[in-house]
Amino acid sequence: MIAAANGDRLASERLLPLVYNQLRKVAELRMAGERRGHTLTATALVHEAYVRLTGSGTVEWAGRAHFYAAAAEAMRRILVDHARARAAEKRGGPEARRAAVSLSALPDPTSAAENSGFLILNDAILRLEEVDPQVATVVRLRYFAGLTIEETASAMGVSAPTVKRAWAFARGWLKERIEADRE
Amino acid sequence: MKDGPETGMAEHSHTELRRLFDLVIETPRELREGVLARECRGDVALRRRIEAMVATAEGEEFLSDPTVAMVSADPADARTSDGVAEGPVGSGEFSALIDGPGTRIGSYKLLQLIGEGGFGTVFMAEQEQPVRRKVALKIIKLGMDTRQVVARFEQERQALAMMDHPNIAKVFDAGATQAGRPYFVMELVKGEPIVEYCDRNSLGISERLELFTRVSSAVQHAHTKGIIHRDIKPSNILVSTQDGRPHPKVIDFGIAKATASKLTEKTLFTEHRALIGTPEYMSPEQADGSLDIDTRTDVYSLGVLLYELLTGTTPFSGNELRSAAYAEIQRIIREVEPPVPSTRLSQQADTIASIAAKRRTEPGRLGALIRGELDWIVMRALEKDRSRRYATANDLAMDVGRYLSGEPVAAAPPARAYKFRKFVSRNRGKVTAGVLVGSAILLGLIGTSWGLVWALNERERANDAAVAERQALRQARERTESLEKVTKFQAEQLSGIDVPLMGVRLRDGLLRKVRVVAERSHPAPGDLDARIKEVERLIAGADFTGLASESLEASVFQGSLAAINRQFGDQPLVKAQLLQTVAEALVGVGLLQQAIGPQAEALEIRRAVLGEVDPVTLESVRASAILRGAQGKYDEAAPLFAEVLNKRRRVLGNEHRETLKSIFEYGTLHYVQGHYAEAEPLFLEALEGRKQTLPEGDPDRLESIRAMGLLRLAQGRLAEAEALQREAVEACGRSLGAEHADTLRAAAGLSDALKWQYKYAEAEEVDRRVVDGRRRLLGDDHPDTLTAMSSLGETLRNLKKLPEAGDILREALQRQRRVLGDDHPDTLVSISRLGMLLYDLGKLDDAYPYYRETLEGRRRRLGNEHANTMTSLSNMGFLLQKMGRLAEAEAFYREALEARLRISGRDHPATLTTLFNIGTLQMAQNHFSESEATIRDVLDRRRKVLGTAHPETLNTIQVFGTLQMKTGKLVEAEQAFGECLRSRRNALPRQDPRIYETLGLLGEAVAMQRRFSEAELILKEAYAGLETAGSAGLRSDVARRLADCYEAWNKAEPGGGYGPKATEWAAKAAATPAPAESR
Repeated sequence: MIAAANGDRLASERLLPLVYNQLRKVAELRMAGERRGHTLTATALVHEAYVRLTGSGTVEWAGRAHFYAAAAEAMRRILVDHARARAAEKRGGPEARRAAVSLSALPDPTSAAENSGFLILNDAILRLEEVDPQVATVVRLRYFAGLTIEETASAMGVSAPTVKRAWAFARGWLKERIEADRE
Repeated sequence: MKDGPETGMAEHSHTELRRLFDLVIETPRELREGVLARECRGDVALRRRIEAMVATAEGEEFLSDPTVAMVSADPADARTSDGVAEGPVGSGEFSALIDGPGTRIGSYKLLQLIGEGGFGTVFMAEQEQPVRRKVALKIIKLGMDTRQVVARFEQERQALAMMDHPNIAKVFDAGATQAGRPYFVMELVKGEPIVEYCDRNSLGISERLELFTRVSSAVQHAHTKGIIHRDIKPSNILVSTQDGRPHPKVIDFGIAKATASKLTEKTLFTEHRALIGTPEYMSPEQADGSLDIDTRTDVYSLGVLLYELLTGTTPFSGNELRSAAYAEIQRIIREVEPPVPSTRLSQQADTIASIAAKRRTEPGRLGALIRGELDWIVMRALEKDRSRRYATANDLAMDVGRYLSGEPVAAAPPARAYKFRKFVSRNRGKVTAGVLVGSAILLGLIGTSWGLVWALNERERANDAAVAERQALRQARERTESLEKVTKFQAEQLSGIDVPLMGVRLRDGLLRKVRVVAERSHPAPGDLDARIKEVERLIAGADFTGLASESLEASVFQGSLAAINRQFGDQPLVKAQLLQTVAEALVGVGLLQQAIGPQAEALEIRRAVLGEVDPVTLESVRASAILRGAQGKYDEAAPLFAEVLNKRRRVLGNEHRETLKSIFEYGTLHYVQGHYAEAEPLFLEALEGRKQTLPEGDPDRLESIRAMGLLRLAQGRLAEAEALQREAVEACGRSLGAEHADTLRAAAGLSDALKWQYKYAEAEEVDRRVVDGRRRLLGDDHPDTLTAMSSLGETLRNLKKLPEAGDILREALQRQRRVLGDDHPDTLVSISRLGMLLYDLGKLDDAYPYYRETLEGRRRRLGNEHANTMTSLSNMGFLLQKMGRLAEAEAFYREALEARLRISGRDHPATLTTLFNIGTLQMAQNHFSESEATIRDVLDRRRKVLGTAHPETLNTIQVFGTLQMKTGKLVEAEQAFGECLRSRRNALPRQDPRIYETLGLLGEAVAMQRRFSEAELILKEAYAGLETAGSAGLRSDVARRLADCYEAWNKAEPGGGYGPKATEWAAKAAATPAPAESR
């Protein structure tokens, strides 16, 4: 774990399985018990996973930035897995698309449409990653790890205005991307 | 795009897209229109794309705020708290993060989610204390400052408690959840939004109107208690059926105000200001972001509601508004007149049947019902200008009541006179512009484009007789657009006014008129010309530039300032913008004193209305700084520039275009004061940033390159200066064309850099290009053309093309004296150059008055510490030295040196020139040891600063050798001459006389060491070399040395006759001394 703080590029990847397992446990607990209309918040889930991991005393945390990168990716995978199982439409019809552009938080785990919509959003985020990795990282940290502007800035080592601009741009870009894909 | 969005998206590079997006989103809304127009040019697809993306980014729906602030936002904190870490999962503060059924908030227990809206979630909740009852609990979404929300609610709590009306839902309480989100507790109201209720129950028009009057009365009740709703819309008016009739309840009173952020606290920049409320129902003053909201805002929203109850649509459709960029939304709400309800109905051919059915009527009948009085009532409530609306909600309710009971309504159709008033107010912007345009045409400045605007005005006026409703709408839109355009155009034209050129034209015009008048008296031939000459003589030196400024001020600026005050007194921001424009134009034409007032007022208004950090306010601070700078009040300008820069760095980041501009400008302030060390890091940062973020042809980027070149030149880093100026010339040429004014300016900079490096042949080519270009572009008499001519003359002088140099310098000087006056800095430069030309021609006594006029003029105009004044001091010393007036010469040199040391430092090439001159003077005074110290110092520094092969360095080496020879250090002298010779042979063409000059000196040094045969060879080569190219003086020197050599050698001259030749050349040389070395 010290490696994470030392800036080892692979550190957050090595962290990933650990965070993933923990996060999934937390998320499944939540998702199983929820009723419709209840939104998940990434912040809470990630925070919880963090506390569980650190609280267990088995891990020595040296830096949060890597944890968040890993957590965001873990969260993304959890949600994708979950969504694939629940999605109403695998290929994303009009309803899913509508759901995709109205997502303002993580998808409602019980809503098939939102899960389909989430898969579309996820695709768009991966596309964004190809053209603008920095902006995509902001999206990952903000959306999947639930970080605030300031936390994202400090995790990425950039200024808050930079994150704010990137986030604004990402929202515009992703929405356009999702809507443009409509045949 | 026809090919679908996919293709359209691929057309714009991602980098460009991001740059534009950042630029637009950071631009205040009212200015975005201009930015988009400028940046996207004709690219409609790109423009739409950016607008849509910005709208999404500023909207609330999509991915709005994924985060939930936690009690402890830092997980690391949680780790240190054992209790939290070891506590059961899902307990404590974490469960509070997800508010849901079962969660307890204060003394309320959440039972069931009953609604989700743009700014929060509503739960049915159970209150246990002090009474057990069911309430509605609304939890506000995050992103708001909870403490402020609650504090604002507390302010209104008493007033809210006093509201007691059957149609108003009570608000009981407010507080913060454990997660820190503000919540409100309200009377639990069952029902559905009013529009849906009416449609579902197919209420007829009169039932709808009756229901509406009850809503209006409820709003009126709140108004009498001092509560403004601010967010009246169908979803805040819930209707249920009680006792068989509809029962409306207005909810959320007091909440909009508590949750609305004050504009002074959240500025455009720090937060992307979200429009508060739902845009369809928002009043123009709310859209404007005005802090001055009163009950008439609710009247407007009620008007929108009434419109919707009647027609099924809002005046502006939600889709239309939501798809528009924010600036566009504001513009629509503020400026666009919606169609009257009956017209709107008739436009909805495809839906009218179902609309009518929901009102239990036929389409035709529905139109007839609404047309006329109901149209008037609705439109009166929707007036943009709130003073024209119903004064109270009650007035609106009563007028609807009159309609229902068949009485005549108070609202009236727009009268002719009223329409006319409206027209005048629509055209005010143009009328103002017209004043400006008219003056400009009278002054003979501007061509056809103005005429076009004028003609358009006339046409609109002619059409006005038949203003139809739709046209009124179109005109309203046009008015806004044209006001914006005209303001922008006006600003561009005003800042583009070339006052010196105007002065020239005034003078020419005057002379033409004089001639015409004189011709009328049928003078004798020749007499006329004499008279004109006399007039020319009389007005020579009159300051026509000043006259032009005065005319501009009197006929253009005073008029527009008065018009601005008269017509925009009640629109502070528009007024501020126009004042700012005028102030900048005044600065642009040099009327600095006159700019102070409007500039201060614009800044004051913006500070008061927009706050300190708003980018628009910062623009005014910046303009104030520029004004102070232009006035030479650098000490006052500096803190202002620094303020703008610091705020922009903080708010926009270091790479934002505006930040970079500020960095550059702050650097420029240092540069103009000669504080090069301070200017350098700023210039470098601006240049670096602009190169990274701006495309090659960007004017800001070009400006930075040019300025960096000037700084390097000023610092004496000549090679760098040349490279930068070349880069600027090429970049300007590529993006603007070879003959663009900016390209020519860059070329002039390049020429300077070349001249400082003695690359006169290259400089000549560049200078000619600049002169030709400016002659074509600006005319023969334009000050910039004359500057270029003078510069060419100087280059030619250095190339020893003295006759042509003389012609050009005389012509330039003559025109400058006429156009600019005798004392103008540019005129002084030409006087100085002509003086040096006379010196080169050997006419030292003739040159003296020119030198003196230059120096005195510069002392007067520029002050003693200006670089040009110092050059004059140095030149004056040099001339006097050559005239043999050594003591006077030394005084001038010392004064120049002292000032240059203070301002430019010892290593500056100009300082070194002065120092060098002092060294040669000391030598002429036979103060050899002082001279040696001085020359040695100069030599070391020139080697370092200019390089070992630089002509000045070599010249210094040669003088150093001469000095050694004079003090008998022949070996050192020979060594110095040898070094100088080698470099000159390498660097100069074979026939260059300077090679043989050095060779001659070397020969003398060798001869003095009695190595006669060696010396003979050297001196003969020197003599032969000089026979074709050298000056009389040099030939005489070498001939004399040859003769001396043979004499000392005791050997008969082989060819003989060097002695007489030397005498002969010396006589000629006396008439032509060595060329002026100093610039």
